[in-house]
Amino acid sequence: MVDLLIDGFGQVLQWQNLIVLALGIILGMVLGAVPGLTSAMAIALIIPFTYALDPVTSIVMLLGAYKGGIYGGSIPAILIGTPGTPAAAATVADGYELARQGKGGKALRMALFASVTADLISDIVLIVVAIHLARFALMFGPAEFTVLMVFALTTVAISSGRSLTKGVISACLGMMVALIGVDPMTGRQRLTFGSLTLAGGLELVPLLIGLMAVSEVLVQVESRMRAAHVAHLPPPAQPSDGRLSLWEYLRHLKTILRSTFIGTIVGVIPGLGPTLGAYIAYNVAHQFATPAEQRLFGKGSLDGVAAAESGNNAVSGANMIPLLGFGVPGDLLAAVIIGAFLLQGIAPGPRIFTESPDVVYGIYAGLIVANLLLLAIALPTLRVFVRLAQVRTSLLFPLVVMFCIVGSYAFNQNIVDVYVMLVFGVLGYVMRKFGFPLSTLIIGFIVTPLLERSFRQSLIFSRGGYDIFFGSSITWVLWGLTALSLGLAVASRIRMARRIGTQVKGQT
Amino acid sequence: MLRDPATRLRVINILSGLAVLALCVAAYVWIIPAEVRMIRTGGASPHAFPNALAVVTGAAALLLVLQQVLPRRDGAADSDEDDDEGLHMPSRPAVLATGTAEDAPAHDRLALAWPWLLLLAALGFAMAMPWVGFVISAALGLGVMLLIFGETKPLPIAAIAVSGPILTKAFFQFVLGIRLPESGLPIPFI
Repeated sequence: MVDLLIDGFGQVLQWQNLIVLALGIILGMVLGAVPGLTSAMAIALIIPFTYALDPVTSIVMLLGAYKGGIYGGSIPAILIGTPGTPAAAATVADGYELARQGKGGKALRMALFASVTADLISDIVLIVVAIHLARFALMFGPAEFTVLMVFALTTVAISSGRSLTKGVISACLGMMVALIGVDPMTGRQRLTFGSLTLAGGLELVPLLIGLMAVSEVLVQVESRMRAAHVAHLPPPAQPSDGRLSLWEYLRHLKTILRSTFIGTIVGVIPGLGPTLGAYIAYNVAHQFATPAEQRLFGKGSLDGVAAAESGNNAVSGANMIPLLGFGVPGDLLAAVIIGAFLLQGIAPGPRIFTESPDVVYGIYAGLIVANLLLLAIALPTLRVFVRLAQVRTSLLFPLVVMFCIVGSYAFNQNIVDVYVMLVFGVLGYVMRKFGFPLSTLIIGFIVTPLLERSFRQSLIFSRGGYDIFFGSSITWVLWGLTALSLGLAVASRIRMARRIGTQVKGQT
Repeated sequence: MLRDPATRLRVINILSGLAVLALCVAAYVWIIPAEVRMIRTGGASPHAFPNALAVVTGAAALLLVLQQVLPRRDGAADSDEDDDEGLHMPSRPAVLATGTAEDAPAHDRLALAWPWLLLLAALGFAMAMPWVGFVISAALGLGVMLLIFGETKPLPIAAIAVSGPILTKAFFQFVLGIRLPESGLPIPFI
């Protein structure tokens, strides 16, 4: 393992790869720093630039953009009180308050160091855990994989939004769309309505760009959003207010480590994602804080910034664990990364460790180097990104639409892909307006080929008997986990409904 | 009546639930039998997986409608939509713009028309691309989209509309080796 990791570092540290990685980080930071452009959207827009790159370089570039995007989101969160990405929403309360006290520089540096520390630890956990998970996954047959996919889709649907029902509908719609094309067992066309264009099925890249980027732009144009409103922030009262000392970092290290642990656990569980990681870490940090520090939460606590930022960044390495171990995307960004793997002709899952170990360890090395590069790039360029956070988005969004069109076209050099992308842009826009989560649709679309193949292979093995899905201890455990997560979700919603009911009665 | 957010949400949920339900019924009764060839491969029929999906989706859509229509006890929430409970959630400073449609100026009566106009511009850009080439279609498309986004100053519009497509085409062609459509005009690169 160590030899492979050293080879991976050798591959990533080539100057061409370092440049591409740095470009990915910078693009991610730029897009993350602009309110309205999310890190998922950044990755969807960057995918077309990776067509010509080799697998390790392209995936590392996307992961660099992901890391850069999540950190970039904290810049406007702290300086203008508007999270650049949803994952940075928890950073706003304390980060912006610190900026209003003239301590914006301190908050930005704490966010950076907390992010990098959490990311690094999370990546190490990935390196240690994923291979063991993959070895365990090799014991899985088609029936186990079927139930695993059902469990993953259930948790994704539960945690994707405010409505479990809408999450399920969204996931199922994504799965239906994935059925268009060729039947994996008979090789016959299905659901193509006689169209040759649909015979090969729908491509992932136009779907991703349409759902994640175009739909976001369509939502933003409603408000014809121009520059973010920037309040006047006071300069630092003393030089130390703009800096972060080693002592201050060490004083908050306990919070960072605790939040990293939380973010890592959140990242491993499919469907939860960095936003929830940040909120849970923030909440736990508030509970563990001393009474004096607790009073500062929401009013400019450096501990709050450290907790939120380490909580959301720790998710990024950990959500690769189910992806590499089982081939199951943990969240929307992992789903996009799966798309990048598939574009390169690599199927993520337990066999990747034996079939393409150079790719896996190249990615590991890339993740570690990306953290250090993020630190090296972000520290001296904070001022530039501060300006970017205030750029007029009315100038940027039309360019985003142009990149969406070019990116979809460039994949196959086929104009039909552009129309498909626009159709999914409209679908995504309508779904956003009606409160249906997009992440579950995308994850449903991505896991369906594996789910359907496993499901039908299982039934071939069992000669049509459905008892195969209850035929091993692994399937029983997975069914148990599925039932448990569903039960917990329903119970929490009933409890919430009762609480609201009691509050309504109390008011009347 | 639809100005009340709770009522609007309920109507939206009922309409979207009914639309999905109709799609699932159509899929189960008509689309899947017509579009999926019936070939015995052992195990489940090729219809089994698509049919199962249609049934699960239809059941979820029906549940969504029922959640809105059936009377609720205790005046509880309209559906299973709730907030994250129990967490100490950091609050967002109220003074700042979020850049979402909810914060759009109330007087902008065209708010709901802008997305469709933008979509029309993007569609025009895409349809024109094979005929007039990427640079010309993108320049025109970008110009229109900048106007839709509320840009009025001619200089930034012209600068972005001209330089954006040329730089993008150059990057794709010379760095990535991907050729974007050309106009056929006797102007190199355009």
